[in-house]
Amino acid sequence: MKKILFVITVFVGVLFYSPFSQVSSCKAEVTDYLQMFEDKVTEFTLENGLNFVVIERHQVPIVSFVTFVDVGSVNEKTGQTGISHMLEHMAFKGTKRIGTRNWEKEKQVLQEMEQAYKELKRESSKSDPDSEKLKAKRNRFQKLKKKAGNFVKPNEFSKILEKNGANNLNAGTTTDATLYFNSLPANRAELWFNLESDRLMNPVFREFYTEKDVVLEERRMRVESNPTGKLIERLQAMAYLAHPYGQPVIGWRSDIELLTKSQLRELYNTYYVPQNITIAVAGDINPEQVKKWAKLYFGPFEKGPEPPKVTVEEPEQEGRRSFKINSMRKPVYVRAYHAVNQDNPDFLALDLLASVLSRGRTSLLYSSLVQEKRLAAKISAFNGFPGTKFPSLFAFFAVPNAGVELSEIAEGIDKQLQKVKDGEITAEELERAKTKARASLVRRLDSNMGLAKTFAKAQGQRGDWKKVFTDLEKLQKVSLEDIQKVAEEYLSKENSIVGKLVNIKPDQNILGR
Amino acid sequence: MKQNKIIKYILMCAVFLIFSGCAAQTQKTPQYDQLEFSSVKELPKPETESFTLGNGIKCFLLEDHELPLIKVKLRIRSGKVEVPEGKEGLAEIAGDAMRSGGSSKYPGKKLNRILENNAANLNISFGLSSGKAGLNVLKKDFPELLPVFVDVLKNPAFPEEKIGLAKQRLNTRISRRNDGQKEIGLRKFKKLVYGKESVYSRVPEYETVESVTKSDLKGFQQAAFKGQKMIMGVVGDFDSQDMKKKLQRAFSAFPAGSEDKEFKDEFPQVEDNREKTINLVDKPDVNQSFILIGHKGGIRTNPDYAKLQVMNKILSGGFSGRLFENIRTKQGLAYSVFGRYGCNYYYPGTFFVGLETKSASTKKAIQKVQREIKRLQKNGTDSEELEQAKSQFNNSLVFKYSSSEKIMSRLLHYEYRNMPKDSFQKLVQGIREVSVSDIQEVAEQYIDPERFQILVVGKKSKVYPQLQKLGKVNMLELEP
Repeated sequence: MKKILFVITVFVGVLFYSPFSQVSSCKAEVTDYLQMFEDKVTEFTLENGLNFVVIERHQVPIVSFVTFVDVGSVNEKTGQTGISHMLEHMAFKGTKRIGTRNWEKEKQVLQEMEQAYKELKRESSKSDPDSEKLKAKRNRFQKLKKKAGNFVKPNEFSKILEKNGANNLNAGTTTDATLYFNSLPANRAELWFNLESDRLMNPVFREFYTEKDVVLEERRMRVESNPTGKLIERLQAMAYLAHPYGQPVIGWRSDIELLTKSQLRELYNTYYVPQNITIAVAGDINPEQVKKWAKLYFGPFEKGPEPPKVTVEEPEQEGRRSFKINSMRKPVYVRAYHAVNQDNPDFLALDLLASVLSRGRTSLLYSSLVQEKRLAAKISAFNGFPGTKFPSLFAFFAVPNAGVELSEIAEGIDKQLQKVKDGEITAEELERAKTKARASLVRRLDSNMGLAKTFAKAQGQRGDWKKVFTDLEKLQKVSLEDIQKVAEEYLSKENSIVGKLVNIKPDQNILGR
Repeated sequence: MKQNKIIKYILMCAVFLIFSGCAAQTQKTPQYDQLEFSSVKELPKPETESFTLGNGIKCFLLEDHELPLIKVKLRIRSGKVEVPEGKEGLAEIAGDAMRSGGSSKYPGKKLNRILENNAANLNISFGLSSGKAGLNVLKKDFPELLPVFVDVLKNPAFPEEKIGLAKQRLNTRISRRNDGQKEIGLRKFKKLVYGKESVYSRVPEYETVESVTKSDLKGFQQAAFKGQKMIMGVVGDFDSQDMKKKLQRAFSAFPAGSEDKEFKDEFPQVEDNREKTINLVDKPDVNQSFILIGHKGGIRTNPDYAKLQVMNKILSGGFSGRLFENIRTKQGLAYSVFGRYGCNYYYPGTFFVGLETKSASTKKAIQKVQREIKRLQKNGTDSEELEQAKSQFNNSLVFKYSSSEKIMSRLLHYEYRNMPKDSFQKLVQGIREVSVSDIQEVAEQYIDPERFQILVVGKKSKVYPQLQKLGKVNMLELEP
């Protein structure tokens, strides 16, 4: 509910260099991994289209669960931005049997309340609202809201899970997807099937209007009171004129304020259908048992119509776009280029390029801008922002050192990019990037939750969990020429968007560098 | 919801019931509270081996053969607490420059290449009350990289260029320290709780960073890396007997050091806050207030520690706590709300409740938090809520053993503090024994609203008038 798996966190990213392996033995090991997992993974689909991936890992008696719903901000209509994230919050509000003291009576009040809200909205949207009437309608709505609140058992859904030892209980929304997850002691696995099926099939959107306030606080925290958040939001909006990747995951303020419950219900009816959902279960659990519980609990989940596809295509950019945000804070620099989606063959070369540029202390940007020229405190390059499902951006994010002009950062980046385009990347650098890619995958596969999330995404978004490994195999084949080619093709000035967070107060506190 | 939508929905459900025969669903599938669970399987009890090297380094080994990796974790009894006044920043620069500068045998650039070509990781850092160093490598690279690790820790070169880089990095952090509300809030709150001049609240300034010299860094590093002050844990794919020999050989290079001064004597006492204060930091470019409320907290060895942990769960444990329920879920006053009675080992922790709320509801949120605390002190808990908190803890115990790394970290945690090895088991036992009346007692005894330090980082023009209604407001200046 809580953290939007905000792309920003990935974007600003932690550098992590980690375990694993020598370039030489690479290919053999990738195949080994695929084989190893083929023995441990069971995949099946219920008649209603609900897809399961089960990964056995019996070392410790715990199990992780991930529900991957193929809906994110990219599926949102104009005027309803933020609604998939809102639905994610509402999915913690309980069902007809959980979170209520008396569903029959509560239902009655919720209906009256919805009616009252509509009347209030009708009055307030008049060009010349009658203040007496408005007041009366507001009072009536508030009264019913309070009355409805009396039927609620707050957070009962989460409380049941936590009482049973749930760990890592949360959910997240991105441009591309909505994920719900938690881990339980293995002996309580059935509880998850019981609760999750109820939540997916019978959600009740109670406490909706109060939860809007919570989400608005979240927006204040992430964006409105946080200039870096604003910068990223603006970057997305500037990059996309037509494609919904331009919409913020959390939603525009006025959209959040005006969202209605029937819009929420519509989104639920459209996208929360079993054939649009993938469930990954990883840990100390028997796949036959999972099948039995899946049938018992999720069998009755009714198949719906196929959800609509996103068809908008972003027109070619044809010329650099740039913007700045005046701020009282210290400067930040972002730059992005239109690139490709995850199924495009160039995606992996761009991934490796990002790694060569900014991953680790030996990377081009770190060693030049951070260590040698001392221009930046932080610098990262990132492929696949804000999502990966549709043609996306290759982005840079830089925090300059005190006293450094943003133009110096820009020049520094340009210089390194030119090196790449001139074919100056060495075989050693490329091999190192490949090693790191393998290492970080292995790292993610080292925990039940990491496994479940990675497999759920590959299966739910791309139809096959094996892509986790086949991608890695393809990645090993990327050549120096490929890297040079993608840099030339995508990282051109005409194709870029530049954003600056600019300090409007003169800064007296800069010591020379 | 539009009326016709509702009807459509009800119809849909009806169709659904008839066709899928799901009328039976509620009968076939049990209620969640009627499920029966087998008892949890025996938790893995991995064998750890421990021994002490000739120079006093305490070592713990834990074999784990799932992946061909080896991880070394060092804890060093050192930290910012030992840095003399006027040299604030020394510890941060030391950790940074040791890593980036390497040793004369393995200077920075060479070090980075060796590590990254092998996808290995080496880190060094110093916190307030401890230093940490770690090596994370593939098994086959361990023999080659262990001596590198030791050489970097034992003989850092501290090249001027890398000292300069570390200083600049720290100066950049100082120059940005007033950007984020949270960063400002946490820094100022420490000053309110521990005192402005306290070793627990001081921060680096441009002048103190400037005054750090190469010989300061060497002195700090040499004082830290002595056998008596070092504790080591190794986890991964190795044979313990063989590892023991390897460590013996590699780490005997460190001097033993003397025990003339106990580490814990470095930590001065903290006075209790005498009276309640209300404080505001003006941040004109925000529309939300970051609020912290609290006072001095406790010490880990307090016999009431287990009771306080349960109190914490009741107050703010996950999505089940009172703060989450009453500030967020019911009132919609915040997205993030948190709090706990914190206990440190060497010096007192802090008791705090924190949240972020829109400027207009700043006063309301503060009052609401105070009311929650008072309610806890006056009425304590009931058996249902206590059961929720205790079950949360007990049923999730298995996660504390979910990886060898977690087990090792806990082991090092207690060893670092010279606490008995069964401290965690005692805590588990202690939590089982907590009673309903205990909660009210500890809430009364350890929390004192009359001494609350209330801090708001927010937009003065919106917030000040609200705070004035709560009492006298101190405006706190931001450091340059």
